[in-house]
Amino acid sequence: MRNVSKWLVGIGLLLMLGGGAWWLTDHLIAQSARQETAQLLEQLDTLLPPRSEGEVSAHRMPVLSVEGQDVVAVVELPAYGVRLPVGSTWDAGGVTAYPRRFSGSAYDRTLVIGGSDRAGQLDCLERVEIGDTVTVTDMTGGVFTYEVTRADRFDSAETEKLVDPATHLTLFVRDTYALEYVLVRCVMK
Amino acid sequence: MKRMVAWFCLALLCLCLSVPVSAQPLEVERECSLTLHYAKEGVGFAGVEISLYRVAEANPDGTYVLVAPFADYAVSIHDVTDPKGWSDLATTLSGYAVADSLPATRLAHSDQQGQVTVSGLPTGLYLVDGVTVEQESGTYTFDPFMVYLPTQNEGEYQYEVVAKPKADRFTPAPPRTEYRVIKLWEDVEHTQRRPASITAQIYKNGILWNTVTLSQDNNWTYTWTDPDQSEWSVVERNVPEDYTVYVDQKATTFVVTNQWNPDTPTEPPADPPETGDTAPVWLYVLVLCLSGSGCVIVGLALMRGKRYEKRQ
Repeated sequence: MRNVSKWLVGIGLLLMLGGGAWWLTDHLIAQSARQETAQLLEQLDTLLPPRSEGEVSAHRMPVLSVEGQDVVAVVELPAYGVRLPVGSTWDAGGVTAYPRRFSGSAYDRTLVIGGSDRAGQLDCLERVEIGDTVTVTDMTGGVFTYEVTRADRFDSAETEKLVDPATHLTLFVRDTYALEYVLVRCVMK
Repeated sequence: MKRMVAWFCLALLCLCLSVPVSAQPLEVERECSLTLHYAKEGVGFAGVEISLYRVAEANPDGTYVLVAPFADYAVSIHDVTDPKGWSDLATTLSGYAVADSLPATRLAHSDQQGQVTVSGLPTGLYLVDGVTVEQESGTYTFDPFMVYLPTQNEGEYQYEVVAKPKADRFTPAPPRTEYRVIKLWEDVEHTQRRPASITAQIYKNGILWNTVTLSQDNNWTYTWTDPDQSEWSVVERNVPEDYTVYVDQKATTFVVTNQWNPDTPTEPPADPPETGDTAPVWLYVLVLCLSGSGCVIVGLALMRGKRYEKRQ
């Protein structure tokens, strides 16, 4: 009996330690991701051409390779102080660092960008309001300005839900607390 | 008669007062030194070449006489009484020195602090030729000037002379425009076909100016400055296979884009977009901590129960 109690206490402590270690690791990963993102943005600011109004084009969105990472745009939500690079291709694991383009293009108004709801990333999507401004700057310096028109919540996020012909830009994250997807719909201003 | 004598004495007195009388005679044979300091706002100009020309020699009575080759020029060093006159004399003599390629009496260069000392100079009137100093911000111009060796200070002759010329003019540098060429790719899902580098040629006013290699090492960009307001253009050579190229100029940035097979549309991913947060870390940490706490509490409770039984 005594041994059982000791084992229980020991296992309990190990579980708590494991939980703490897991949380710490996750926190450090998030911190490293923020630093990586900040450095990437700094590089982009020095490399990108002068800003101009974005233009509809038959081209696909070009990609700039910075430090070995393909970046297709910079997304900003000025009301929340958010400014993030957008990776060129979808990578479920890669959104930990910064958002990624899921599909589409700003040039034909079909852009879909997905990110993480970690602090400092696209966590602001959980509290955006109708009328908020979102800008997407492509790698030629073209700036596309959008306005939030709707925010939807779904248990899952199949492609059919993400791609909405009525909207010009969709941003999405998975709300890890509510365990559902937040889809923010935007139209071009 | 008495009046005449009085007038004579007065005239003599005036003459004596008008003629500077040195406390000591000028030592004609004594060597002099001249220290010059070229600087601006405390920053010395290093490596400045200074040319000294001995224009006139000194006499024991403190007067000066032009020496060859300057004696051949129709200039006067006796009627100069004001700074402008001296400046004009210096400019005139400097002009002759350049026009007739006169060899300098002494040449010297300033040190890191912008200072230079020339020693062993015979007494005389010297021309210190003008200098121009080019800095990043612009060009400083020091006009030529004349200097007596020795100089007089309160009746005393000073054989070691220090002068700090002031820049007479500053011409700001023309604005240098920064240009950049940046390489973009339109090749989603075909990135494995990208080359390790590409070659771009930069043309200035229609003439090949530079050939650069863009790669991962320089983030596919190259930057250069243009002080001349030239016409620039950029082309890519040896475009990679299966790519086409187009160039767009945005202000001073040339955007060179390689496009992969533009006729093939890109389909969105078919699978649901599971984000990296499919694992709600907070939930797992909570479960671990709660279950761990539970185990500890139960274990401690059992231990207390055992101890109570023993006491009983």
